[in-house]
Amino acid sequence: MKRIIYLVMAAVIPLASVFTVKADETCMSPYIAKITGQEDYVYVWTLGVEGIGDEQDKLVTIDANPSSETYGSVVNVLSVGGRNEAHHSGLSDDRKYLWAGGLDTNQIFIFDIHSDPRTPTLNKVITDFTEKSGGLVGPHTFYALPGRMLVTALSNNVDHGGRTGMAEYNNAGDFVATHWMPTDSDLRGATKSGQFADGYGYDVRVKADMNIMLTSSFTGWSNYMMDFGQMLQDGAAMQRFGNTMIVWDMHARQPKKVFDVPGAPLEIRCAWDPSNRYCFTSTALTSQIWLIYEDDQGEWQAKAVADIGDPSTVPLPVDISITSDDKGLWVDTFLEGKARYFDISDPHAPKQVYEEVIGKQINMVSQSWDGKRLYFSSSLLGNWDKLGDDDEQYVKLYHWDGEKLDHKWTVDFYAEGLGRAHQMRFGSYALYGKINPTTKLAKIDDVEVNGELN
Amino acid sequence: MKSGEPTRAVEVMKSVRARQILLVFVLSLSCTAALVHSASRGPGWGELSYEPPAAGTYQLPVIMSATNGVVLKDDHSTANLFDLMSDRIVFLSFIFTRCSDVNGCPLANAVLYKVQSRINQRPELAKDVALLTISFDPEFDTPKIISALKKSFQRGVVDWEFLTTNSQSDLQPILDGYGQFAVRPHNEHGVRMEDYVHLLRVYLIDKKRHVRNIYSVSFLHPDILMNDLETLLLESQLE
Repeated sequence: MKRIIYLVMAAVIPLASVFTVKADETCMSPYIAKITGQEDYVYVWTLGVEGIGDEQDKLVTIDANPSSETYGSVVNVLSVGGRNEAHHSGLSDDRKYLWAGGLDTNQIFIFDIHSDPRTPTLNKVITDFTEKSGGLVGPHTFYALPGRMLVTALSNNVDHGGRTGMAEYNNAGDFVATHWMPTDSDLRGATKSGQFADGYGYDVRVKADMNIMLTSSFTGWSNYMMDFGQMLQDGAAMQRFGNTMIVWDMHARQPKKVFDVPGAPLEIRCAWDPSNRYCFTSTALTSQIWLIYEDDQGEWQAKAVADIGDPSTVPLPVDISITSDDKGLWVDTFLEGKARYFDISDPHAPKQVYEEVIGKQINMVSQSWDGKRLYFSSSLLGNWDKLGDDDEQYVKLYHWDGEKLDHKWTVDFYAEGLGRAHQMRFGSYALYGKINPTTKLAKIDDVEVNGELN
Repeated sequence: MKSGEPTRAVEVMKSVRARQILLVFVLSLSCTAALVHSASRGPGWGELSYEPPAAGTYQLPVIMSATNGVVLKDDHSTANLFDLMSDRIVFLSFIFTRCSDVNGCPLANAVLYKVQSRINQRPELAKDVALLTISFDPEFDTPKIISALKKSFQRGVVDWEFLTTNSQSDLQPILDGYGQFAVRPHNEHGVRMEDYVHLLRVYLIDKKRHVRNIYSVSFLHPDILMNDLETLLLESQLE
């Protein structure tokens, strides 16, 4: 009985206050509501594949609550009517909606995940992203701002190369503004600190306590839609990767400084503690962890601080995930199918302390706020994923006890007729003041015992 | 207990609560200095750790149109939000008086109080600015309650209105229009809890009734609000 009460308190007490400024999954916007407890669902934005199921892109809902009878299984599939090169997704600040993009068609799908968290619905499709933004192509990161969504792009509609920017929308899906990346020909007031000002884009993160926004750089449509093997043999194509990161004044949306970070810096993860004035990224082509930090003079700097595996073998680092205590960093390497854990207690000298092969290929990792649950997915890009038997497509849950990963379950996305599993986001009934109907966690008697909840 | 069915117990609690609210507000303002160094407090309680961009050096693009609605004033009269905005720049906040989270409604009230103080020091700005605070708890926050709020907070020449609504049906379109998320959670038997799940939001609305910024705990700070206000005033002078 006592245990039940504690469970009920854990589930209900976080409701009785304003949402705080941190976020769950440890990698999301600081402006959004957060889940500190058990997630109920994992929403997987999934790329459709010819010959697999209905062949369409889809939002797949997996039951993630261990108290549910359908735990670890697919409970809903919502197809969107075609293939768009489904890639990344992001939650609105109130977590009522999930935005998901198509890198090829430039369509943005906005799903309602609050009306019935177990059964999302498609609320709106933005079809004029390129037109409204003034030429952006490839909507990538969806990063919640208060009442708005910041969408990074990967390319442009002039040369389909890497020059790009970001578009800002309001939560209703109406276009607000475009912010282009600075280039050599138009630095937009920024300082160029190295060789490059390539204007490329990829990810974005905000250190809200410092009024700082960081962006990274990847490659344009002409590369990310190309066959991976063909691209590796194309010397000109291999020159078309980003080599920069940019620090921006967040409030003004103005670029301040362009750094050289060679080798396609991808995901950005910033420390949560306001006193930790730094962020990390990993470089896909050079296999390094980079630290972007404010030095003792208050100047922002960037430097490589660790190798990821053996860079000469091109492990291809993809997603990274920082722990909520800023002590650890998970790094996935696509070609090795491996997850590595780095101790980043000293951010200037990360040390690898653990590694585990998750599958034949790996891309994204989503981590619960307490760091005990890690969800891994498999797909990188439709034309870059491995071929034949190596083309495993999955979402896997592991538990982490601080020393080793313990596999709990796998959803095989090919066996289930779904497609290529990409980005994962968490959902919870508690966010909307609801009780999970499938878990029977709370009972009225238990609530009354606590005396302050009715 | 269902919405719209107040009991005697609730009425008693309201009168007690009104006195408590005044105490909480006094404490929240007087404790400002003590809260500055706590990392868990929103920056609005203390000094910013960075220099915000200067007024007029940046753009505030139109985010969306403001939403009109029927509200209830502290003197029990009804009014349209747009009439209260008049031809002024508005800071609009949503609160409920039973909110006890230091980074929730008390923070919004404290920051707007500081903005009011700064405008009072520059009275030439006052005619161009209005502060509106709307409760999303009309069941509890009666005109009597918000009148107590107004007496606690409104000072000087600034027009700061504290508002509620006649009903949830009057309130909800306003909340929906601004995207202010606020719900009272139910347990599995449909019993509503006292508190609200909500996101702290304050809105900057220009004279043309366009929302130009939406503030959260992370950057709800009087320095930023004043710079944004002056940015819009400079913009209107150029038009």
